Amino acid sequence: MEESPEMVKEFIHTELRPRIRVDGGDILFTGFSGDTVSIEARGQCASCPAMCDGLSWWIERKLTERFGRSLKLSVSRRKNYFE
Amino acid sequence: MPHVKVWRRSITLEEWAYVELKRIEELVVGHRIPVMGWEVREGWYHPEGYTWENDFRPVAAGDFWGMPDGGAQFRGTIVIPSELDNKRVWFSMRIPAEVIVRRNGRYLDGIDPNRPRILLADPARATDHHEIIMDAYVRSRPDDARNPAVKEIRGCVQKFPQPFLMTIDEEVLAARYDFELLLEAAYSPRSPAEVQEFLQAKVREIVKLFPEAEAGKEAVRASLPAIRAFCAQHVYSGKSPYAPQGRLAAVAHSHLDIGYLWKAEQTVQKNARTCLIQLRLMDRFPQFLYAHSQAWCYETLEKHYPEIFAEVKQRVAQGRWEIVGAQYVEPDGNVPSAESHIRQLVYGKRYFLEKFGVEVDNCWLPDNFGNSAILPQILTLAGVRYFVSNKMSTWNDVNRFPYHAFMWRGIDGTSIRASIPPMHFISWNTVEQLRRSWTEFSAKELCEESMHMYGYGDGGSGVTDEMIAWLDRLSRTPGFPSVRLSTAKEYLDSSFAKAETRLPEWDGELYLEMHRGTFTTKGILKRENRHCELQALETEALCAMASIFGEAYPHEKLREAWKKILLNQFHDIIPGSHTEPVGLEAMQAYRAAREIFETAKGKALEKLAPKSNSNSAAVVNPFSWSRSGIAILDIPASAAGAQAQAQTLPGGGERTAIAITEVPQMGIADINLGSRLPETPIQLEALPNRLENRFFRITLDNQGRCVSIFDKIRDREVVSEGTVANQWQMFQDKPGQFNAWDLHERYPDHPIPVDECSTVEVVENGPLSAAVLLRRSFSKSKAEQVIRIYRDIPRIDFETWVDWHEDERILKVAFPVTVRSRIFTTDTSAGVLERDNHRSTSWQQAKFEVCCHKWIDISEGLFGVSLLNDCKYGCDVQDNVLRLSLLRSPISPDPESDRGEHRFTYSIMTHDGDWRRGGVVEWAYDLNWPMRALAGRKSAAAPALLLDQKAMQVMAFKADEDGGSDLIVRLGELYGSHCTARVTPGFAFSKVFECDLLERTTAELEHDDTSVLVPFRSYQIRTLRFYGVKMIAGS
Repeated sequence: MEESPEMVKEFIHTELRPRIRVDGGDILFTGFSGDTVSIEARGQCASCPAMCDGLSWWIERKLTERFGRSLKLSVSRRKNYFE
Repeated sequence: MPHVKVWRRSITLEEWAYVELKRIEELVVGHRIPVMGWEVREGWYHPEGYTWENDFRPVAAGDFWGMPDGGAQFRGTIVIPSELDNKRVWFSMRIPAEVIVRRNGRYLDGIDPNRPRILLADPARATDHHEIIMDAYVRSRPDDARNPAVKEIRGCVQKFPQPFLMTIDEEVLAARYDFELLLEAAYSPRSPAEVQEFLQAKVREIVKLFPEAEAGKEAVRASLPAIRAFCAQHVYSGKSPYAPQGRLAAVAHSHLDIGYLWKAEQTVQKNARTCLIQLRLMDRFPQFLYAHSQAWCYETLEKHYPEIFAEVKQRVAQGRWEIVGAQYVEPDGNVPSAESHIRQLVYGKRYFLEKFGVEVDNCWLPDNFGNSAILPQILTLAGVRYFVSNKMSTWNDVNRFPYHAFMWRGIDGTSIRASIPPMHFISWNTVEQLRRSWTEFSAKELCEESMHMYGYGDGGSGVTDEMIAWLDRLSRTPGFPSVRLSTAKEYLDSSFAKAETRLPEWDGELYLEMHRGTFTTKGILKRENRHCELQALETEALCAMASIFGEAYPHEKLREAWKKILLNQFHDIIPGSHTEPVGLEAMQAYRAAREIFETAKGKALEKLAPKSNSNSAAVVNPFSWSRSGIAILDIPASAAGAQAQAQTLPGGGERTAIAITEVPQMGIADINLGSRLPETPIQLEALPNRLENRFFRITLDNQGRCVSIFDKIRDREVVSEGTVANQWQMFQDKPGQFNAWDLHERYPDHPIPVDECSTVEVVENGPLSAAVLLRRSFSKSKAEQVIRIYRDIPRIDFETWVDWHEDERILKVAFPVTVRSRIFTTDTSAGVLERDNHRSTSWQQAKFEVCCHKWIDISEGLFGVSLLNDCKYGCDVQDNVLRLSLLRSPISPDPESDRGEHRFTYSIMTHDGDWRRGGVVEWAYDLNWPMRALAGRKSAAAPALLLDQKAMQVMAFKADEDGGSDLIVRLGELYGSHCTARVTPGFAFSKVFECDLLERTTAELEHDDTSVLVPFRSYQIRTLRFYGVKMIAGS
């Protein structure tokens, strides 16, 4: 299927994000280009050592399941001012 | 020794010693055999079972597993290899998750970041099969972020670590503990200089006993007996020249936040894991004692983990497992009402009595955020003798709390023994922690012993082997406090017995000088809490009344609803300091509680006010004073045939208000909807710039600002000259790390303008009320507010809707009034607390935000102003400005906390004299629980209870908790004045007893045929139990 940035954004924000926020973490969709999805890690995710391997692996797997092709994740971190 | 600090230097003795320690550590593990063949599946844990996201799949070391907020289950088979035959075999897995291990279908032990290994078999038999199931919970933080060793071990999706079977050389491990503790003690800056010198000399001697660095492991192993012998003789012999300094009673526990970064549902599993771990420690350490709190934890353990519960029960019977904390959960100490605090104790204590035969006599609140001054009386009336909380001693951000053992005196004059241990409630027995537990204890001379709590916590976990090993040695370490393992009860009984008559006294609330934002965060939960507390009062009263007419009292259902309210009062739930799902889970519980109450009320009303064809409505009054004013009718006025006394309200579709002349106290009134009230001239008018009734003339400027409130009864202006009332003030609210908890003292430095109203519209104009609607948009939010005055109610209501989308901001409303007073008064729900209205000392300065319940008041001589609310708890008064905190918007731990729609109402009213003269209490209840008229019903019941004292509040009218037909009446004196109340029930009875809060009778009271006279001290709470209640004939 041909996925649009809006579709990827909606999937991340409605399907993945609520689950991540459960632990006080958070991710925001920031862009989609080629086969790379960009997100911004916030809250607990922004300072979590597992963000760039463990959680990224899980998100990529979910994106692949949803859109039927391999998508890569690019993560930037936005820590709270007090962290 | 050099006397100058140098940085170009040779290796120090300390550094060298730590190198040697590493050589010991390398010998601790004997065999280390990988266990292969694991499978994993992910899912969501529910106490009743998992919902699986996928099927089992093979998992090997390095493979990813887990998911956000997920659980997982691992399974595998361990076959004991021949080389481990007849050995003590441990299973080890260093995993950043919380794991419950089952072996061959039975619960074995727990693994978490604080403890990577569990004892699998002792002795193991070669070829034995162990079928292993491991339930694991991953989350973004390790079990206890305070454990520095595990801070970086976290992540909701993780790599599977290789599990091992291993043997431990116990002698090597003991040598490691010996040497490691000696090093900590010898080089701790907390150790006295002479003790450091003494211990460092011993370190030097021990270092000499190690073989040279090039020697192999076996040479090191061979040196250990000599090292151990040296330690036993020269360090831990208890015969050094430096006698123990001080005494500690070490109480093991595990602080367990029921809702915090995880839901209560998950805590069911956390609690089970924590209990399991402590039970296994008891197996290995016969001297180990452990304290565990919260009836909810035991209740869920009993229901979902009966096998573990049965073991706990055995240990309780043996006296090694101590139940601490008489409450259902460890609640917040500020927001719950008096009756909620009572029910925390009733349902907590009754559970422990029923299941364990244990009467818990302490209140265990190590972590809550300050405590109301109503608690000493409530705790005492429930048979609680001791109050324990650590928070003020370790978290105050302005003043050092002066006492660690004292008598805490409440507003009614009742005092309770209070213990505030000097150290944090989570500790892991470092040299520094243990030393500070003694050196910082301010009651050394009085109590002779300080309580040291130890064990990891927040998410449970508790004690580790290392903690116990260290305690054992530290008690024999020169110059350190002597330590004994103790129960909390043993410590409290013995230390307070010594100090009994000499204890200092602290009068008033135990204010925590931190976490001031928790009075306001998650406003929606506070609103539900207030609603449900009052709904419980009304429902129980109606069910009790109906029981007199033969209706069965729904004991179990009402208890179930109450427990939902009590659970949500946990000290990280109702304060709002939690992640989003915790809040959603709490809201679900509130909805369930409301539904139970509604169903029970409906059934009771079928008996008390059955449906009728007449054009009438029934109005229920669950309060102990007769009421008048207006009621909201549950059908449109036109449909009911209501005429002159009715008024359709805007904004709520079919909401209709009708005038009520009188509903008796604790009773139901019939209203004839068809009758007209006499036409009397009334003064009630709303214009865009003016609202006026017989009480007030309110002037608004062209931006909707309230520039004047003129009190027509007292002929005086209420609003301070040059100011405006109902002024919304918004401030930047960036407290940093404890974002949901704290309100920074500098928040007033950063005001953010709130735009004035864009439109003002008249929306009601009699005959019962008149109102204008103000609309405003500000920043990212918008609001609508109805300012309403009444024909017969002396309140000005500000009914408010806010669509709130700010980040890290606080919204307050200010009323600068023409009153000068050095004190102001806050409602506590069971009496009042008078607070200083000046900031002369650091103690007063620290209280820049305080807790209130339904109202606050400032009065001078003959006049006063009260600010009422229907769901807010944070306020401040400075000079003549009363302010209520309306909304906050923290960004952590819930980044979306409080964003969205809020509804609340606050009111202003004036009165003669102080708050007692103006009916403030009654009108505050009326604001919180408006009368509702139920159309098509006609009352068949007389008032259930008559009281002849205005100062009396019925806190509960209900059936007894034993499931019988006795009726319980709990009364509280509200005006702070001694009095004698005549209590006249609307039912016949044979005997009446005074009872404690658990409804155990203490004395029979004399009574005449219909009533009983009950004396009250100021703010006293008394509970009466009516025996032999006679059913109304014909029922």
